[in-house]
Amino acid sequence: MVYTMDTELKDNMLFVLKNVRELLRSDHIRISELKRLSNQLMEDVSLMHNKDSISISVLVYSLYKIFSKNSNISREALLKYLDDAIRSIDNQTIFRTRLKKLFDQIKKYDKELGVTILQTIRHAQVKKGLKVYEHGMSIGQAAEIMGVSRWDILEYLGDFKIDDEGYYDRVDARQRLSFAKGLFR
Amino acid sequence: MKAIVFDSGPVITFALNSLLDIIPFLRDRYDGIFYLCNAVHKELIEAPSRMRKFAFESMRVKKLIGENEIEVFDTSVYSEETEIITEMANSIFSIKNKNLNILNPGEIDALVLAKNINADALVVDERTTRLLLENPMRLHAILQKKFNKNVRINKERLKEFHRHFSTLKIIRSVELALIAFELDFFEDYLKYDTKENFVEALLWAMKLNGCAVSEREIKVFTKLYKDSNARG
Repeated sequence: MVYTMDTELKDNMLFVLKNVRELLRSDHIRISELKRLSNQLMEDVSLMHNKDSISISVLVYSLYKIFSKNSNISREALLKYLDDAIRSIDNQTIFRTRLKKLFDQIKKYDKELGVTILQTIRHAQVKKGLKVYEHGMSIGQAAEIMGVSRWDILEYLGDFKIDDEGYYDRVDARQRLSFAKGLFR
Repeated sequence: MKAIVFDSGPVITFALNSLLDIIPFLRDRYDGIFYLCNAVHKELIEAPSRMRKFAFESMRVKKLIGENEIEVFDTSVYSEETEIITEMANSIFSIKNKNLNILNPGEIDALVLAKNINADALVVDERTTRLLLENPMRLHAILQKKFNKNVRINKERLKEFHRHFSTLKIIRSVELALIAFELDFFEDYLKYDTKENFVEALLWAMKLNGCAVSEREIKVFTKLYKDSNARG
């Protein structure tokens, strides 16, 4: 099936994948750059809820966490699967199969790193959910897009600085409290 | 109908702070029913029961429902209206003719229930829902800033949405916690700390577990109890 996605969306995904590939090819991976790239598609995720943008964001964030723990782990297979994914972006079915191979590859790092990669991936999903929320989507919407629960998002919300202080002041806090008090004896 | 409808967020915030007992405490002091809609019930019970992490908190909520402290209203009767309102809400804002789907049907389910039973209030902490109801221009500003693009507002849709929910009153989990505080739910804690310190700690705990209360509001509330300390 040929991918008839929005051109800008495709360009954005390619940009991220190609840059991740360049980072992984380098002798010393710039970890902070991996993290930055994981946020690159968040506008597309929030606006279009595109499944592949979501997968790529989660994948790159997971890579950021993995390489933060150990930047010396083997990258050969990752690079091969990245190349394959980039080449196949115009065919949705093959592209998604290759993205899945990338996820399967990072799951193999469990033993090497002593972490549960599934937890890492879940953590990545929640973090990206918080980014979707930051873009103005509701918590329920953010959770649904990223395939996590509201419990997950709310638990992490406190650790995440949302840049929207002062946005709640239209209804006076004391007035709201006063109204609420009037409901109870 | 004398009722208060709960969105899932406030119940989750109470659960994550081990404050679920506030619900039956307040239920005893309210001459009506506490309700959950179908979607909220699903989020609170079905989703976490599949995950180990929140399974116990979910069981505690299930117990509250089992003991009728909070009841599930079968909102399948409103499913058509929920669908219409979801489409309405998610076509208020758009970027380059692409609608921004800002709310999900679960959140709308609670709004529709509260409106149809003429509830005294809807308890919702969630920022986007509250802003859409109370301060849509502020939500518009957030969307513009975060997307860094021109966000169009469909003013007719917004007016229609507000007409639909014009009588709906919103309260949050922090207001319920403060009411419980004033009704001495936390009196044992005050043997060991001041009202001001306790209220500040309580509100921060709730903020850090998902209640959209600003730092400024926490200061306002804390000051209320500081002043009451001073009055003795």
